Amino acid sequence: MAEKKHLSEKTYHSVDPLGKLKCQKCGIPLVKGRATFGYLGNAFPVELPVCPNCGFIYVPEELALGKVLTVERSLEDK
Amino acid sequence: MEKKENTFVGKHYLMKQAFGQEELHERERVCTREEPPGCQAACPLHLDIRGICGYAAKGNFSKAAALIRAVTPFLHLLAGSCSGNCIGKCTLAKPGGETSASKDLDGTTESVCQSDGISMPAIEKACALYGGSGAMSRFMIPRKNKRVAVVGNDLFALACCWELGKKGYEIWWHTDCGSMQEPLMKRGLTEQEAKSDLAAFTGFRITRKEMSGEQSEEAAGADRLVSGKEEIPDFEEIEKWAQEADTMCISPELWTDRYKKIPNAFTAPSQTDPAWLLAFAKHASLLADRYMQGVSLDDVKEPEVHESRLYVTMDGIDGLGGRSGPEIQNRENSTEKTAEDSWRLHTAIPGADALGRVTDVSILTKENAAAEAARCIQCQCLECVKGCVYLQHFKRNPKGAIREIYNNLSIVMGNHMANGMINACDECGQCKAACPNGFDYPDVCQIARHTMVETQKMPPSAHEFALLDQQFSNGEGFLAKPQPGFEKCRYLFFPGCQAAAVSPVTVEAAYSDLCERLEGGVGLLLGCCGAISHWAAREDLLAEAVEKVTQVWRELGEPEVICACPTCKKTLEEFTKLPTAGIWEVLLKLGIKPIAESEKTNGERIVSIHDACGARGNRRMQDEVREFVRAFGYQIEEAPFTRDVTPCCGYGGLVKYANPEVSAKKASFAAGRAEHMVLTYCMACRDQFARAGADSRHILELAYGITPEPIPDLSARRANRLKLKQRMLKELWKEDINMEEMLPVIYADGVEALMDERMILKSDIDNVLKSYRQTGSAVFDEENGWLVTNTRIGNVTFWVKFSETDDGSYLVHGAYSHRMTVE
Ligand code: SF4
Ligand code: SF4
Ligand code: SF4
Ligand SMILES: [Zn+2]
Repeated sequence: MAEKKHLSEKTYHSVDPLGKLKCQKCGIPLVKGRATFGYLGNAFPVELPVCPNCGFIYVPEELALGKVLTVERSLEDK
Repeated sequence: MEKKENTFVGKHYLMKQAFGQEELHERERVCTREEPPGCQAACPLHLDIRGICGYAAKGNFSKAAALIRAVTPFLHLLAGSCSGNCIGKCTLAKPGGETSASKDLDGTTESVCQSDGISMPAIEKACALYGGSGAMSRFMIPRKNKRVAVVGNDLFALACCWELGKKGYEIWWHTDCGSMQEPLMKRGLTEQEAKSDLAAFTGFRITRKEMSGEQSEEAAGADRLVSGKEEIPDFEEIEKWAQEADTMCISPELWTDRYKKIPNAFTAPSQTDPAWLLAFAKHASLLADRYMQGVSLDDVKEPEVHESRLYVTMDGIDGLGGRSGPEIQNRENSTEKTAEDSWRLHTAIPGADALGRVTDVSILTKENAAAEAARCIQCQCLECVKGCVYLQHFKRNPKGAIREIYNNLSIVMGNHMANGMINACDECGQCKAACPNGFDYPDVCQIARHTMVETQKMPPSAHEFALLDQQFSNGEGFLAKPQPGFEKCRYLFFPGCQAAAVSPVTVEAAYSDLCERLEGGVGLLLGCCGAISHWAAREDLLAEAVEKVTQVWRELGEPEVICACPTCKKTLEEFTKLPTAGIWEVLLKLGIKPIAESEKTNGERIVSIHDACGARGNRRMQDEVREFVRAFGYQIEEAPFTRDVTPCCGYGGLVKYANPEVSAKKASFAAGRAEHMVLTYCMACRDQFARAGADSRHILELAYGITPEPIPDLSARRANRLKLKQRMLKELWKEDINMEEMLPVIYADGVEALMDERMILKSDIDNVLKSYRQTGSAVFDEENGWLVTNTRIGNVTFWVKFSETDDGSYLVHGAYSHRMTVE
């Protein structure tokens, strides 16, 4: 959340890999990178752990079952 | 600036109304819950007796009094002399406590019963004694520059003064009364009491005018106004007063037909009962008011009492009047108290008997009056709500709910707050069967779901899993075969998707029994009837399923379809012309061997039957099942809420998927009704009961002596169907099918349960891991030492946490999913 002010674009959520995640395929640490969640015609720019080489995007469980689920539910009722 | 582009990209808002306002009103009118209870309907003033009792029972006499004073200020008067028309019409006065519109209007209730009706005069008296003053701060009466002439010496005149005075009219009261109190004191009130009732007149513009003409001096003679009229003022005099004012109200005691010539004069028929007289004063005043406003007088109804259409049953009412049993959530004015409380209260009260009935009005205390009020059962219609956990969970009644649904469907933008409610109804029809008027709530839910699907407002997550399951049943899991050795068959056994998912052994046993004992060949059809898609309001998929079954039926020579599931049978009857029979009736005809006492499950001799929703309204099916069960040598004890008003097990309407919480609540309510082992004749019910921890058997498990298999999770429900198909094909038709090989996977403790809760299948895990084997894409979580990978299957992205073991299998540590895409 603290990084939000450095961004020009609004970011709905930000997850820092904190150097504890590695791309299994490329063997390099994931970094914080841009990604976009999409559902039912809506898009939400976020920052997620991403592999700088192959582009693999990681959605941690806490995020999937937390904020992502909440937003899914509320969009379904829009 | 740019973010707008991304957030709300042109979502299409399709509009379609389920039904119009008129139909909504028509549907709402079916419910009589808002009808006044018997007491209120019988009160000429239609006092909110239920509400008054509600407050009085809590000892809050000022609020109770306020409810009366909102209608009439003459509290002391009513307390002393109302004849209590309501008492005989109170639910408690009625034998059996049932009220309904069919009862004759003035059918006099037996005096024994009458004494059990709530004594409103006693409660009114307590309100007068303990309800505080009737004075109101009326600094805001809007003054109207119209004048009313009120003529008379009695309560009617006084009541007209109040009715019109509070509306802001100036009043010229032509009377012989020396004071405002006089009419009240003539009726036996003390000066003190009269003054208290008159406190409500503060701020009125009333001018007392001497009534000329000959006066009858002795007030004593006019004490009871039945005996002849008082001397009447000259006609010319009256006419003059009428001209001086905009309108005129004349007491019935002074009225003669000559006054009919005066167009702006209103009166009432003579009344002995003060409540009636007050009601007629209200009526005359209303006519006068409307006359002055120049509004039509046509639709002003004369005061009347009527029989209540509110349906109230006494079940759950203890002998003391209070409602016992589970507290039903949406009762208004609930008088939170237990039977024990009432008992303790009543026995200790002077002037009341053990039932709380006031025995001596002269020693009316707060306590015995409150006890009397507490006997009131706060009549309301709960027929639909009391057996439905769903309505209780959402704290709704069907009438209120359909309005919400209507509004929900009319929303174009904004939150559809009722979506969850619409999708949590089992559409089981219990409420409709229980309603004295047949209010059809499930129909509205079904219409709503259709509208949501058509307008693309159905939450995709609600039914997708179930629909994929139907697709599985009619795809990979589908099997249709004639009996070996036959090309065409006289019968077709259709156990339904649930039986195959929950207890495949039972399906095998039943099929082999049918083949053995029926002549002419018995085909087998493993698949889904389409009920799932019907609940999801996907008529396209329903048509597909029905067509699939019909085609098999044609190919097999149009056999009679033997259903093992009432819902399948009902669905086929509703959407096809296929001839159907229930397996219980077929087996009954073939003959049943009673089960030896020693072999009876848990030594049970008495059982209860849980009727399936598919059998609702189908007495024949319900009876057949009972006969079937008795044929095995069991005695049946009917559980509460049986046959047509049986609650749904929680599977119906796909609630199990759309709202697992409500589904589980439904299951435990349904399972908790019976004291004995519960027999079901739907395998979904049996599964739900097992989940609720109840001792239950499907009647076919009973018939074939099958011990229930462990409760299958979602993956096992699929695996059971596949394995059944594979096994039967091999054993009966000597065919092998190739099942796709699954990767070797071991699940860490608790992961399978978690997956079931999150509706993740083992086949999903297999898919994710297979895709990982191809792409090698995964994240290594250093902290936990495992890999996390994902794959999108259909509309869902599945994530699996795993590690590879030395022997080449996968150890799964967790799994989760989301529907959003991410890129
Ligand atoms: S029990 Fe109460 S609400 Fe019902 S009829 Fe009697 S007084 Fe009225
Ligand atoms: S779940 Fe059944 S009883 Fe309850 S509201 Fe729905 S249809 Fe009626
Ligand atoms: S049972 Fe329910 S729907 Fe029917 S009248 Fe009573 S409150 Fe209304
Ligand atoms: Zn990579």
